[in-house]
Order: sequence, then C-alpha cells, then structure tokens
Amino acid sequence: MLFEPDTGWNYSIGTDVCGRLVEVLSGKSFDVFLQERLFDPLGMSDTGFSVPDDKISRFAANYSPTEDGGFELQDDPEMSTYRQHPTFLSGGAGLVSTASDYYRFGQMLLNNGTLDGNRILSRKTVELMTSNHLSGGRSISESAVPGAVAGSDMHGYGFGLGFGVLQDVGTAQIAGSPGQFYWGGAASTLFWVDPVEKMVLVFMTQLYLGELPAWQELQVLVNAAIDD
Amino acid sequence: MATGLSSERLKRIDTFLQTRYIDTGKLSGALTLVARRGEIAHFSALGNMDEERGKPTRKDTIYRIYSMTKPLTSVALMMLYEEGRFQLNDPVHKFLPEWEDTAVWVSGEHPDFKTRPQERPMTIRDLLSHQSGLTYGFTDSNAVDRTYQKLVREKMSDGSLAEGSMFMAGMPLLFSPGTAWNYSVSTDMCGYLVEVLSGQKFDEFLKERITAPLGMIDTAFSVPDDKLERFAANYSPTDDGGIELQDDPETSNYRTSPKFLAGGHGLVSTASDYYIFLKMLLNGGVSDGCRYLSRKTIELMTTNHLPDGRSISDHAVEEGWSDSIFDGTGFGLGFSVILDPATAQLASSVGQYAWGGMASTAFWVDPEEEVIVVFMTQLMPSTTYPIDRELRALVNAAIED
Repeated sequence: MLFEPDTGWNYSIGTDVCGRLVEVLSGKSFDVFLQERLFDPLGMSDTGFSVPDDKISRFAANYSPTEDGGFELQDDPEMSTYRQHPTFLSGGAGLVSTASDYYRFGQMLLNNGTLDGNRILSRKTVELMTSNHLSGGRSISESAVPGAVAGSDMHGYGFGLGFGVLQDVGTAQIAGSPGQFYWGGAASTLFWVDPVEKMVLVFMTQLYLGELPAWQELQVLVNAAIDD
Repeated sequence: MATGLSSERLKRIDTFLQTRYIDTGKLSGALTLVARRGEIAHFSALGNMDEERGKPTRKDTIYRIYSMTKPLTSVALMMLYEEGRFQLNDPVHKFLPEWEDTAVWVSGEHPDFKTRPQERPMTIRDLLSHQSGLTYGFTDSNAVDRTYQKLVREKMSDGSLAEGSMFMAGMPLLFSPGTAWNYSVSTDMCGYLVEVLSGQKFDEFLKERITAPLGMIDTAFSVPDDKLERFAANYSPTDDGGIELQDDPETSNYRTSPKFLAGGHGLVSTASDYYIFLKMLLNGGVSDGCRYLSRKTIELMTTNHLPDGRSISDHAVEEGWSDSIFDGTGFGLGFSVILDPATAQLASSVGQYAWGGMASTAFWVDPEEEVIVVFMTQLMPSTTYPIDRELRALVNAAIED
C-alpha cells in the first residue's frame, strides 16, 4: 500500500474492492446484485456494464482533448469494448448509464433512500454516507497524500462513503450548500445532490480526462437559477 | 409593533447621537435608518448637513459613501459570476494579463524595490476578499503603502481603470496572494473586471444593472447641479474635538464625473437608496419582482472567505486592521461577516454582514433578525469615533421579541 490505512486520502481502486465485498457478502455476482437491488427497483433500465446491440444507436462516442483545444475520437461506439460484458466487473468505473437513470439514483438519495415506494437505504445510512469520514474533519485537500491521483485542490470538500461532500462554500470558493454531495466520471460527467436546496444535477458528456472547468461553471449557473 | 422593535428604545439612538456627538460639535449631522422585516422602524435626521450654510440634515441628503461603494461593485462582479463569466479561483491575469508576473515586496523603497515571485497568482476571490496582496496607501507603515500614497493615488484620480490596473500591476504586492488580509484597492480592480467582462463602462454597468432598476436615483459617481442643494459638506476632526470643513459641496470634485471610476470608494448615495440596495440583499437578491442575484450567491458572498475560519484580525497584515474591532469578524466577498458575537464583543448575530465608509458612514444587515441599518454622516476618517459599534448596541437593544 502507498500509506497506512486511515492516514491519508488517495483516489483509488478502493471502490472496486467494495464491489468484490458485495459479491462475498451477498453471495451474488456483483452485476446481478446491482441489477436486482438497485437498477430494477429504481427503474434504471439503461444502466449496466455493457451496451446491448439493440441500444447501440443511443451509445455516445467518447473523445479525448487535443493539444489545440479540440477533441479526437477515443472510443467509437460501434467498436467499443463496452459492447461486450466485461469479466472484471469494476465497481469503480465499469458502468454505462443515462441522465434519466442517474437522476433516479440521485433522487433516491435526495429522498433519503427511497424512490416510488421502494426503499433502497435508510435515511440514517444516507446521512452516514454523506457525512465527512476523513479524520479530524479534514478536507480532501488536507488529507490527500503527496502525489495523490486527485484531490490536492479539493479545499472545502470532505469525503463520505462514495461521495465528495461540500463542507464550506467559502473555502470551496463556489456557490452551493454545505452537505451537497457529488462525484464525477473520467469522461467529464458529473452529478450532485443538494439536500438543502432539494436539487439533483446530472451532467453528461464524453470527454475522457478532459480538464474542463465545466463542473464549476454548471454549479454556478444552476445555483444562480434558484429563484426563491 | 410589527417590526418587533421598541419605538421607545429606538428613540435612544437620537438622544445618544444628539447629546454625544451633535450638541458637542463632534458631528455636524447624522441620518439613521433602521428597518426590520421589510419595514422602516426609525428614520431620523439630526443636526446639519452643511454647517457653514446652516442647512439641516434631510432624509434625502446626498452623502459621500466612500467604501460603501464596495458592496455595489462586489454585487456587480458577482452578477457576472452568475452568468458563468468567471470562477472565483480564476487567476486575475486570465482577464487582465498585466497581473501575471506581479512580484512581491521584500525590502527597499521605490524605485529600488527588492522583490520575490508570488507563490501563486492572484485570483478574483483574492480581490473580492482583500487577500490580493494589494494595499491602499493610507499609512506609512511599509514601503509599498508609501509608494501607493505617492503614485497610485495619483493614477487613481487622473487615469482610467485600465491605466490604473497597468500601473498597480507594475508595483510589488505587499504579500503573496491569499496569505494575508489587507484593505486595499482590490475593489477598484473588481470594478475594472466588471468593465472587461461585460464590455461596458463600469458606471454604465452599475446604472443599467443595479442602480436604475432598483430605483437608486441618487447613487452615482457625481452630484449633478440640480441635486447640489441636497449634497452634504464633509468634515475632519480638529485637535480640540470639533470639526472643520474638509470638502465644500459647492467646490467639491464630486460635481464632475471622475475619470477613474473607483469601485472601491467613488459613489455618493442617500440613506434611502442604500436601504433599497441592502433590502434586495436581505430579500435573497430580489427587489420588486426583479432578480439581481440568486440567494445562493448572496450566501456565498456573506460567508467567511478567510482561510481556516480566521477572523480579519487573525489574518490582517497591517497593524491598524488587526486591532480588536475585527476580532470575531471574518470577510466575505465585499462585506465583513460576524463569526462570533462574543469574540467580536458586539451585540450582533452570526452571519451579520457590514461595512462602512471613510466619512464615518456605516451599514449592516442582520439576516437572522431581518434588521437593516444605514447610518450617514460626513466625518473623515471613520476611525475618529466608534459610532458603528455604539449603534449596534443601541439597535440590538431595541429588539423586543
């Protein structure tokens, strides 16, 4: 390991190990567990580890930024490895989804664990997951180990159980609410849930490892639209 | 009464100001507006607005509000923030390239400064929260301030904002951006950013986007001839505790539009105009059905932006600002913010935001108690008397629910 457990923060394959724990604890294959316990009850019909042929017409191309500020094809949907079900069911990075599906997931969390009468988690567990779990109430930036994959600039954000959690808008330098939780994907997708303002945001695009300020910009624009 | 303020106790404000300051000749006049829950509970004009001409203070007297210009400039810039034009952590040089390599003062006097490179570039948040490393030129306490006194203030009266920016960017910073708090010309640079980001002159932007739609009809960078009779005289204290004329309205520079549109200190206004502005902020950014800012942006502006929850006095680089007046008080984006009334030793609420002007004008907004106070007078400098603190005690003492 890079450091003794609980002595630092580093973005990692930790969540892939969580997926394996789901298998060991439930006795089911990880994809089956997700399907039965999350995707089916939440009606997330387009969320899975692969794109079946009958949905290929809706599968986006993925791009990489070019040096001149444009982008180039990184993964063609027709030839994508996402067309095959993977052997390694990555709980950290494996899924495809849609804005509507992910919105349902986010809305379940905002509703304290329930959607359309289906309880996925207790309110207390959602509260626990969206509390800061870093030692001493520290932020991600304060906890990130030297050379961490990400997070050294995440001032004012703590980390819960699966989510970054906004602690203080002054330190984070952005409009938002304390307790707002979020994460994003390597292809520049983003979601957040703001329990104070009762908002869910899902942003989808496909720019792989792009360094866009779009996440910040969206947060400002959405907060600026609050009219009450 | 519906405002939950005791009218008997509010009358103490007048008695206090009259006996303590006006009868004793320490102030020529004063105008105090206290509102709660959207209703004006106390609006009282005392003494004279122009001692020499024997003109009594009016409710529509026009005052030099100096640094009370800063909240308007900060709101103007944050309106552009809400349009996605910039992020608070954007480097200033992204929009004003002259600031890219501004050095930090180490030793020496102008023009033989020894400098070092800045640790990180100045950001827009640094400007809005006075953590930029810039200074003001009020004091003799350091070489950078002395240079500002001589040179920058010259440029700031005769030059355009663009010229001012070029000039200041060529002077060393007092400290590396973000490492301390210092009251400064930062807000003038915020005004210049409004120009660059909006493509409009700063005064036009303020008028079109803030003062005209809000109905702040007497708020501007100059006093037109037809309003001259309402323009107060400005005074300075004398050694014997009295006052002397510092700026006669008839011969004042304020009668002509300045070339340097100072977002840090340039405006004149009235108590009623400024109250409209503060009411919009207290209402979460709305006035008469028109939205100026989102409630979330106002929350962001009135949150402490100093690192590690520090107060102004903890973070201030200058001695004058690190005194007890700023204990328990943080700084947001254009306002001071009460972090803890006990540490601040002030009857107040957590989150109460405030600022004042060089001529002893003051305001505060208490979101928890829904109180707004605007205090107008004209005595330079504002450190002469502790009227702001005295008023906070008197107004909070009038809350009766």
